[in-house]
Parts: sequence; C-alpha cells; structure tokens
Amino acid sequence: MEREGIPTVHISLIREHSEKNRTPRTLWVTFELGRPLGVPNDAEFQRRVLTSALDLLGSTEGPVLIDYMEDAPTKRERSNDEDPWVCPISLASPVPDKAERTVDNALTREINDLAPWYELATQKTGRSTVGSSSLEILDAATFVLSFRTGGFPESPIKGAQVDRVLKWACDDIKAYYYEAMLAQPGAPTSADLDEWFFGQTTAGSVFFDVQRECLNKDEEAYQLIGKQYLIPRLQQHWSPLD
Amino acid sequence: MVRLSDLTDWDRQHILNADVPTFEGRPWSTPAPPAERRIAIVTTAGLHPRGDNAFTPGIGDYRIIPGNCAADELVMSHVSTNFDRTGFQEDLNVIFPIDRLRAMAAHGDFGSLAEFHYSFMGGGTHPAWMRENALKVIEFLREDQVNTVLLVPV
Repeated sequence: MEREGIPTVHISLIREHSEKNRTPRTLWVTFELGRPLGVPNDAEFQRRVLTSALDLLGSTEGPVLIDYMEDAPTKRERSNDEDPWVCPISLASPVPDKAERTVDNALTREINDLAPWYELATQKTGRSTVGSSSLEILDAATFVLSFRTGGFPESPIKGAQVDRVLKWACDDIKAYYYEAMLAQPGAPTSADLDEWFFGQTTAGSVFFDVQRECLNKDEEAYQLIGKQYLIPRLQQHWSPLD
Repeated sequence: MVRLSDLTDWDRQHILNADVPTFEGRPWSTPAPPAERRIAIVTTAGLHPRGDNAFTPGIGDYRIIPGNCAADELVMSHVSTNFDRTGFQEDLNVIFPIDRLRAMAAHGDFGSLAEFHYSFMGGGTHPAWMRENALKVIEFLREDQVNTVLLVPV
C-alpha cells in the first residue's frame, strides 16, 4: 500500500513479527490475541490506543515501531473479583455414557437451557456473532452430532464443502455458549470460558468426539480440523485421547 | 496481557517460526495532514457481513465491509481457535473500531471515514497469497478517496 501511495498505520500484537517485517508505522500493544484495541466496551481505552496509532502518521521518517505501554485489564481485574469464576447456572452434567441418543438429547437440552441467557445476551449487546454457518443453532448441533460416531453427512449448505461447514457450525455452537455465559453475572476471562466449555459441557465433549473422528479420516481437510481447527491448544488437556 | 512469555511453548514457537514477509527497501508514503485524512480499516480478523461467503484458509481473498454495516450484521469465520473471541462477542470495536473512528472523525481528529472497509483472514494463509487481492483492494480504496489505512490484526 505504501508503494502504491497509501500511507498505513499498523497495530501489532506480536512485536517480534513487526521487528522483522518493519512495516512503516507500527504500534505494538501487549493485549490478548483477539483484542487489538484492548478492552471491550471501554470507548475511552480504545480511543487512547487509536490516538497513539494515528499519532504515528506524524513521523517524518520510518519505519517506526512504538510500544504502547498501557496494559489491558481483564474483566476480573476491572471488577476486583478475586474468586475463581464458576458457571453461575446449573447445567446438567455431561452425559455419563456415550450412547448416541443420550448425547444427542443432552446436547439439545443444554442448548435449550442456555437459550434464555443467549436471548438476554443479544438484548444486552444488540447483536450476536453466531452465524458463520448460517444454520439455526439446533440444526448446527444436529449436523455436528452426525460426525461424532463416524458418520460424514452431505453438506447442508449448497456449494459449501462439508468440512468447512463442520468448522463453521462448531464455531457457531461455541459462540452461542460463550455469548450466553457473557450475559450472566460474574466476570469470566476468556480462559475461564474455554475451560468451562471444553471441560464441563456436553458440547465440549462432543467436540472431542468429532476431533477423534476427524483424525481417523485420511483427508487433509479433516486432519487439519482435528489437529488445529476445533480444540484450542490450551484446552487439549481435556481430551480423552491424552 | 499477552507477551510471548505468556503463551504455550507450541504457540511461542509457532509465532517465532512464522514465515514473516519483509519488504525490500523502506516503503514509505507521506501522509496527508490530519484534516485531509480519509481512513479505511483493513482487518485480518476474517470478518464479513452475515450471509457473505465465509473465509477458507489458503485462499487469501477479501470481503468488503460497508461502513454503515450494522454491528449485528458482522460475523467472523477466522479459522484459528487460538485467540480470544469473547472480546469481539461483547464489543465489535475491540477488533474493528468503526464506532471509535466515527466518533474521532466527528470530533475533528481526522478528516473522514471511508465508505467501505476490508477484511482478510490471516490464519492458514501466507501474506504473499493475499498480494493480488490486496492490489484490488488498493484500487477500491483509491475510488473511495482513501488516503490512510489502519491495519488491524486479530
């Protein structure tokens, strides 16, 4: 873009990369990956980051790489809540056996139990990030469940590869659960919610079943989903395979 | 707060071993004065309007985000599971600061906000594979009179 005559300013989450590629004007921030502006719902904090970034446009030569020195507090740090976060509602325990119908019913029940909280979340934020797959949430669940016992169904979306729809449906289920939790009292960090989802919910246990089945397939697309695109590395410790 | 030392060994090595592109020379364009700046956001968060084609790794294509796109109309189909999405779920602006920039433009911090913004998906896609599409985006930016780009990662 610079060579084409358009000046750029870049927010960087990885200083080591910016040291290497030497983009012309770079503001390195220490924030959690996934939060380049730092703190959700804190307009003043975000404005300070943007002002610091746009100030780099005043540099007369470069490349310039500036460290943004203000850290982003987590929601827990902002609320001064020192107790570990626990899920404030009672979901039925993940199914004790792996009978197919039992798991199907348990996942449906779990999604229905969370529905009022998900609705509250969408009312509070005025939006939802569920929708990558464009499937209704229970349809997404049914589709994902069909993979857990080794079945590989047709793509429910015309023109979309079935492995891609699997990934998007899983992302939608996760977003639905996380948004429902974010509507509730308490100040969970992203790590709290990951631990809860993959360690304590039926949906999380279904994800591990699907991971196992993907790894049993030869196709590279499923291998990638099994290895990288389904379970965050920090939650892999919940895997029954480990 | 995240620094490399806070990440898992795998993530740290993955990041340090990444094939980071470098630029020959020191590409540099002189910015317009603040009052004349027209700013567009280019994000690599894999954002797109609801119903638009989701991203596929390894392609390097882009999606157009109209500046008046309602927050509820934007979803994310980034392939990676290894970054936080709860911030985005709570507030679009933590990855795509459209409301903040709109307020700053109204306040006179810079001239104006572009009519269109652009999204790529970084995961599983080498930056070099985006080059051809980036050149197309540059043409669109010119048509929109954009003279400043804010590059935002995820």
